[in-house]
Amino acid sequence: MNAFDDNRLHHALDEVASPAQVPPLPYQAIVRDGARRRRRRRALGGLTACAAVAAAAVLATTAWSRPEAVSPTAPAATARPAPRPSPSAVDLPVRSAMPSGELNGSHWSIHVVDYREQGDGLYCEEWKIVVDGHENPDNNGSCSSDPNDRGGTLNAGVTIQRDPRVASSALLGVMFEGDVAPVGAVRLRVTWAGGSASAPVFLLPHDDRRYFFLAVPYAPGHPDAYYNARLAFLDARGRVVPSEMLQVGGQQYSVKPFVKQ
Amino acid sequence: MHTADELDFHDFAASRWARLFRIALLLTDDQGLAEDLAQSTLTAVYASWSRVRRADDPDAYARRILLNSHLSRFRRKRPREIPLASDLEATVVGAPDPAGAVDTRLVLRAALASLPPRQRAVVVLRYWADLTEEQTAATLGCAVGTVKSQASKAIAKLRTHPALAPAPEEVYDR
Repeated sequence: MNAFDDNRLHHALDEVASPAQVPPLPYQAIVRDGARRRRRRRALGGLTACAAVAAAAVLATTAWSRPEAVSPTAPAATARPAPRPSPSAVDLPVRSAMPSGELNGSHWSIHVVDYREQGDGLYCEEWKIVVDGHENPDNNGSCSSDPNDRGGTLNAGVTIQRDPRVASSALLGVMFEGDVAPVGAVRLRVTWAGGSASAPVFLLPHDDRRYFFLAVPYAPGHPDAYYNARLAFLDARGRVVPSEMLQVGGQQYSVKPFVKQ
Repeated sequence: MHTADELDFHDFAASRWARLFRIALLLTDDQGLAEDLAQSTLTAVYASWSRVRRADDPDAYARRILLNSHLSRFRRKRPREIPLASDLEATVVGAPDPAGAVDTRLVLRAALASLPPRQRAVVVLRYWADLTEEQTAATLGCAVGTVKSQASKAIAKLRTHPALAPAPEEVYDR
């Protein structure tokens, strides 16, 4: 982001925040509720301490003498169950890597740059788009930082460009991506004035999020810098799956690519 | 709480109230929710004041409480009333405000509302509260790289809105 954008955005945010009437500080309510909260926490702390003392006393009175020798026992008959996808995800393909593809004659792929260990799996934290072997520094993506966080991460208007250091850089397309496809969805479809495309919803190993990546080519010479893309998740029979996420923004995404001339 | 602590807290609350309220307003776009969020933040700060006042940066502590409360509230209940893109375009193109400022505010509010909560939080903290990437990451409890990528995505999305898009010559200069 350049300085122009910084200033413009700061100014615009200021225009939203500054005229707002700041209500008077509800100091008495804050102190009353804060004191109540502190008392409750202390009471809970006291209860915990009492419980710990009581438990220690019970253990002391019921303790049994340690055996002289400990013989090894056989491992438990029931092994720890392996993680299984939820029933809704049974029909989804499991990919070993992030997707890649061809767009307007160039090859693009997703390169995961940061993983986080959690439980028995590795979760994607951050990725980059690589086009024709070059990472585009402006096009980083991040997976949801919390695998339990089902907040919408659909992003429209992420442009896939060649590395800006390459002189022949031109716009390749637009990507829609996320990891919160709705239950029952097996494909994401995007329809725009020039056509339609779809891509499968998929899983990654040890990760129960439902991923989708769909890249749409940009047609040079489009008469309008803006064009609309309509998105829909489809089930196995091709029916549209209602998605709270797609209702945000009214299913109609205005996409304005950055065109370098 | 001792009288000296009480006075310290009063000074802290009085001097931070407006800023916390405005951050909350930019995050929620709702006067009532923003007031609740700022108030519950200061309530939590009061309850832990002895620890907060010893912290290196009490403001960071308060900001983190505010963001955690906001994001957990958002996870519990997603907003359902979001302005549609077509409404935004109508707002901008249909009837321009003579001063222009009201239009810009409306468009920006709607554009912010269309961002996922974490991206919106990054925009507010980085570009309104003027926090560094490191401070923003500490407030949100994530990596600096995540802040960068979330900011990049958010800006790319905000740029698609007419009131925030750079003028054509600025695009071509890139």
